[in-house]
Amino acid sequence: MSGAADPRQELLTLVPKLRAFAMSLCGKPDRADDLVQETLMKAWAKMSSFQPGTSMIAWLYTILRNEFYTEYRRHRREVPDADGVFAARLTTRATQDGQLEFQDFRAALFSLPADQREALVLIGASGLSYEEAARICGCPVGTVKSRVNRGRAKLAELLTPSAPDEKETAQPAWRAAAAAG
Amino acid sequence: MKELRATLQHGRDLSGGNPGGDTMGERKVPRLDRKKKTMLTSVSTSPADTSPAPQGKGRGKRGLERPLQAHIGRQLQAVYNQVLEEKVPDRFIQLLRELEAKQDDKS
Repeated sequence: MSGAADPRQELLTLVPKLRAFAMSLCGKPDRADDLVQETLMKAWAKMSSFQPGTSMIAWLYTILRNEFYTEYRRHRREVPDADGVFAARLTTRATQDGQLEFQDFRAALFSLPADQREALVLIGASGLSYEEAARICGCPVGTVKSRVNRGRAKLAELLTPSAPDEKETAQPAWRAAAAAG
Repeated sequence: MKELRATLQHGRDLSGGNPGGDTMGERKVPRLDRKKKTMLTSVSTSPADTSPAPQGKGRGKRGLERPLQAHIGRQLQAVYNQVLEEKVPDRFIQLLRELEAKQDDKS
């Protein structure tokens, strides 16, 4: 079948999407690219299990995600310092307005549990449907929805600015939220 | 004033977890004239208001919800797009070339 070689040609064009997803999962540029490399090699090796006509990016995200969680379970303690790396990477970059806001958002995003962050990125950024995201994550659609909602609610809470004159009342709420999370 | 506050507190409790809360609150305090209603807003947003934190949070959320969620959507997109728009590193072009070369060797 001549179609068998074609899916592989598609891999290169999907690398940017893989990198964007990998980065939003692990937060470290180097590790993200290692994840992408693993994913490409696995995908290449088992290309025969890809069903033509289905979404290749969804298939690749599934592989990448499995890679991530396998490693995540192995090196759980390495994960939390992702924020610092991100911040460092950012300051050497863009100098647009809103950069601080962007940095705050990033820090908030990476303080979320991985499953919520992943759901937010799949739905809110990569443009997949809830059904596709559910298939990628191997969970019911309702679970994806609740992860998105919890993630959004938590981000909203973290990003809600507290006016200076509200410090007295805002602080306990902030601490309570941190303790609860 | 004490009594008014109690009533206001009650009205706010109702509006806290309910999208239609405002109308319900108004029905509960029908005798508030316009001036007192203005006070209601100022009392409820005043930092001197010693209402417990969860209520304050709920109230803030109602007002901020839409623009904040839109902001979150934009930022999420920005985080993803920042990497998406980067040039593909050579290592991946190299990797795919190698995989292809191996493939050709095999066949």
